Amino acid sequence: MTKFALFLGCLIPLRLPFIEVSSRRVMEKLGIELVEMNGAGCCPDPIGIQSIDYKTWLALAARNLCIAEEMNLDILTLCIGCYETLKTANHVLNNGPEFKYEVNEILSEVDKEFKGNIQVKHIIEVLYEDIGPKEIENQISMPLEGLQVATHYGCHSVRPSEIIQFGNPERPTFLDELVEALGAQSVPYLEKMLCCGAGLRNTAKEKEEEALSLAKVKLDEIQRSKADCMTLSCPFCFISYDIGQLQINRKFKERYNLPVFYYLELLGLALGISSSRLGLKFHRSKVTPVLKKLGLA
Amino acid sequence: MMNFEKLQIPIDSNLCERCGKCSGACPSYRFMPEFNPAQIVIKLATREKEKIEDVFMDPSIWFCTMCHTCLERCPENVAPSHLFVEVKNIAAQQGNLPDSLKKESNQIIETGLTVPISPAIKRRRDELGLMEFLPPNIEEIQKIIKKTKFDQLVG
Ligand code: SF4
Ligand code: SF4
Repeated sequence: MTKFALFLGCLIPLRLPFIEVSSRRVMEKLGIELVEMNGAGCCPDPIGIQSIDYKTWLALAARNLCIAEEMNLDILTLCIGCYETLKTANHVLNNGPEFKYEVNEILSEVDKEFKGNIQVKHIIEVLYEDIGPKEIENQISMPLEGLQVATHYGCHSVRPSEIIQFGNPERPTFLDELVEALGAQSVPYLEKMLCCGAGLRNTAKEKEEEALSLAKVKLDEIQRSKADCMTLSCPFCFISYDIGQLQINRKFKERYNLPVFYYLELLGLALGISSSRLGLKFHRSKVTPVLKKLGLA
Repeated sequence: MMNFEKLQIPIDSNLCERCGKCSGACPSYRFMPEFNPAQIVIKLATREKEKIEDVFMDPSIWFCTMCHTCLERCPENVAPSHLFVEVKNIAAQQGNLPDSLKKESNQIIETGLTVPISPAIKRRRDELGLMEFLPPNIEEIQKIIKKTKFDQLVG
């Protein structure tokens, strides 16, 4: 059985726990064991904390990496922000002896040492590389036939490409392939690689309207593409388009009602897991139109 | 790549050929023209003390979403998004640091997390059949923060 150390981060377990539920139930069904990381904390945030103090960011990330090293397991993250932080820190510490030296000096305060013997993967990367779209297609029991899906990658799932080294940094296809493995169709649309604007929510609170405008551009294009829903793999992007949609409707007097799914939720449905066991009712954007189209509601 | 010692001299900006591709690709510039990545890089490249100080005090440097599109598109390997991390690190030391980030930092210092463990979320996790959320080892986190003096920076 393939095993990973599960890095939960903050946002999913403490604000969007239904994403944790879907991820755990689906991975269990696919025969991937996820082991808890005792004592792990915030990754920390790749946008805010890295921008304030690179050294602290790197040292706190290294502490999390050490926990998985002690478990002798590669890390699996559910969040693209955690992915960016932990994968970048792992890369920088493995390739920069001076960083490793300095960080290990800090870590000696807590009797830890970064060794550099594990890998960091995002759940989508594991699905695509360790299992593969073909095998997923074989495993599903309830193909999502006729469902038109707009995929949203999330900036840090592919960039900086020098560090992430997974997919094309500006024209990736892995998520589209994974959507089509479910029997659904990935629809092309303009602005597919546009950032969701989540970074601004923390670093520039006064720019809320601009951040919402950024998300709105994408919602407009997805609406034009006639997609039934959008799918993504990051809790920050999820909030931008899920709760974000309600904020956009209020601010710009619009009436978007696009269902938003974390990819594992769609995969869960295709594996025959019920929408209630996936906790889909906790989405702010209502998913019922999609469930109806699939004959599940 | 970043280097702690190099922080005082944003040297990569010297490579800039002023093509403007970074600004053309930038989602923040699209909606907030006061944040213009190429213009920031060019200011840094002048190496004029006044212009560089200007950048450090500019509140708009915090408008970058860190999407790294500029880094992928820059033909001269300036890596603007990485350069801006260095710039923001210096800005923070000089007191140019948004309150929302101070708040997030202090939340991490206190709890090791950016989101509080509320009674409501405990109930929701329970309802979903999830195990109790394991809190981080806050002692270790605080020792690291004390050592890097992060608490003083964001205090
Ligand atoms: S990383 Fe920042 S500066 Fe670069 S394109 Fe994205 S938002 Fe603009
Ligand atoms: S893309 Fe690179 S070379 Fe072109 S203006 Fe921006 S930093 Fe300068």
